[in-house]
Amino acid sequence: MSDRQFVIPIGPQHPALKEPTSFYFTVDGEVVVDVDPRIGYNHRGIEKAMEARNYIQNLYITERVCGICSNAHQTAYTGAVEEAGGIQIPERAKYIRVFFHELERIHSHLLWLGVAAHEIGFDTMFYYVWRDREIVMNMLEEISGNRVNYAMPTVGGVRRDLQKDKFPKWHKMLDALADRTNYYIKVASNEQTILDRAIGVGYLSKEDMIRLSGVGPNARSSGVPCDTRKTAPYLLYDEIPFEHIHVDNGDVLGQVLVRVLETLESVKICKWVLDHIPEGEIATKFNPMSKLAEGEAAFIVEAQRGELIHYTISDGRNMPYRHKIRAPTLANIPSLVERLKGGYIADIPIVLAGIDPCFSCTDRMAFYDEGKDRSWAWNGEQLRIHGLEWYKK
Amino acid sequence: MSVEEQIKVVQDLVEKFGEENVYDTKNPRLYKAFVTVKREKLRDVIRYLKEEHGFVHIVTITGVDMKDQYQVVYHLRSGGYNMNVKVPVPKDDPKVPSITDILNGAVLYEREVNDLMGIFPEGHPDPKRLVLAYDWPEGVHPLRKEWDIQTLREKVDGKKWGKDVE
Repeated sequence: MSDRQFVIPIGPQHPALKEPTSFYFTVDGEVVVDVDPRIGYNHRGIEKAMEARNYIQNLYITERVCGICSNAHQTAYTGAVEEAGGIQIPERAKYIRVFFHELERIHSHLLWLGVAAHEIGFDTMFYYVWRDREIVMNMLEEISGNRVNYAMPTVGGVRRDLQKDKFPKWHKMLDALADRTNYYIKVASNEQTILDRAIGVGYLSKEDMIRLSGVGPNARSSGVPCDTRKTAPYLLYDEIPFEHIHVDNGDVLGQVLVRVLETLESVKICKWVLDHIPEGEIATKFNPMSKLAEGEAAFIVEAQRGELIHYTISDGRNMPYRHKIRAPTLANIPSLVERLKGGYIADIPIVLAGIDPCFSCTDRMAFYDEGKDRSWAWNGEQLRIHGLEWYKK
Repeated sequence: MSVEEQIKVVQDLVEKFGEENVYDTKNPRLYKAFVTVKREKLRDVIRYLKEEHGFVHIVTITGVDMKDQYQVVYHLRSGGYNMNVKVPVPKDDPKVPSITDILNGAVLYEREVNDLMGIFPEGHPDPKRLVLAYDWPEGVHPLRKEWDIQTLREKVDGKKWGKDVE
């Protein structure tokens, strides 16, 4: 390391968000030269805990892996257990699972859009987006009783039914969401405040993205067509008409576009489900004490942050022998590191937020000036303000 | 892609490397395959799958304690097709060759398996700790079946778990 380069540790603690992560940035002036990620500050031993609990108890553990993708984790978990045990679920349950999968995607993408607007200093848009996000939050609360952790899928089906008399109202709410999302597409592709901070920032090419096995909107913003709902359809996705969204931008603007366009597709899917849902049972009986057949299954779903795998091995008891979970953020860290290299310190918050990580951008940054024995510390807010001030020059 | 085409990929693998090196193949459903590969042939199989059949994406790596031996499962993907390559690893020699130079995306997953299951990726560019704390005792790999909550607690905190907890 030359005299000109400094190491900046960022993280790991952030009081507002789960899953803290630490990064060691090597900087040369304003330019990031190297990044070393360090995770595991919130390693809760979930895979070990699942080996000692039965399949119904594990349902509640998997839901709490992550607050934002709770339903995606349950969808993947129930899918893996049902495949390993050969359990069939009723048609209506599949529709309800898809409905919640997509509602959760809408709320997560809108949440991300608000956070991204905040990181680039466009707080007006942040407030607008989060106001509109309340529409989908209200829908989720109306059906499940919860704003997060909806506890909808269970082994063998879903836990709550959709009431038919509410469908017209939900159609109206979904229309309102589509209206607002169309407006944000217009804003994101025309508003100079966004374009100045998004075009060319954190660029990664398609070849590098494939090489580093990136997933989700992060990979699709670099032009990799990797939506599991299209490439390997699960539940009902082979019947549902929707577009496979991917753009070739490769920068933060690409990530904004992928997410707003996907929100629109999700609204379409939700409306399709409400139009086509058949009558019938919502769950088959599954006794938590009953033994599951011996077997193994790897179930991959497209969570809102990317490809999510649950791999389960059953040895014929009523609890898994081994259950492996890989959440999308881990898969996106190698490509995130490449995105950050060569960028400016001022762009760290938006590029970090760009992959929609489960950890926040930055909490405390300590700057060590190696040659002059000088150090100072910034918190995330000060770093964000530094970014805004830096771009005013 | 149909199931027949997928079975062909597995058959091609068996023909290329021989039944003694690639065995126990399963195609449970569309988009899914499981194969078991000998440890010595792992790198060749991964490279062959990447170059000939487009398995450029690594989903994750799982370490499993199978009581009499360990098993490392490489979950690969080519488009939607998910190939799960299992490698048996003897308990007295818990090592696998690193595949990070073939599939760059495996860099963090190999470190994770090394932390939690204690299976060392030989040839990894930077095999330091990833998920375990810096002050975690050496040689304690929590996902191995020999560790349960009591023994882990005694080893890590020096306290018994259960009645003695205040």
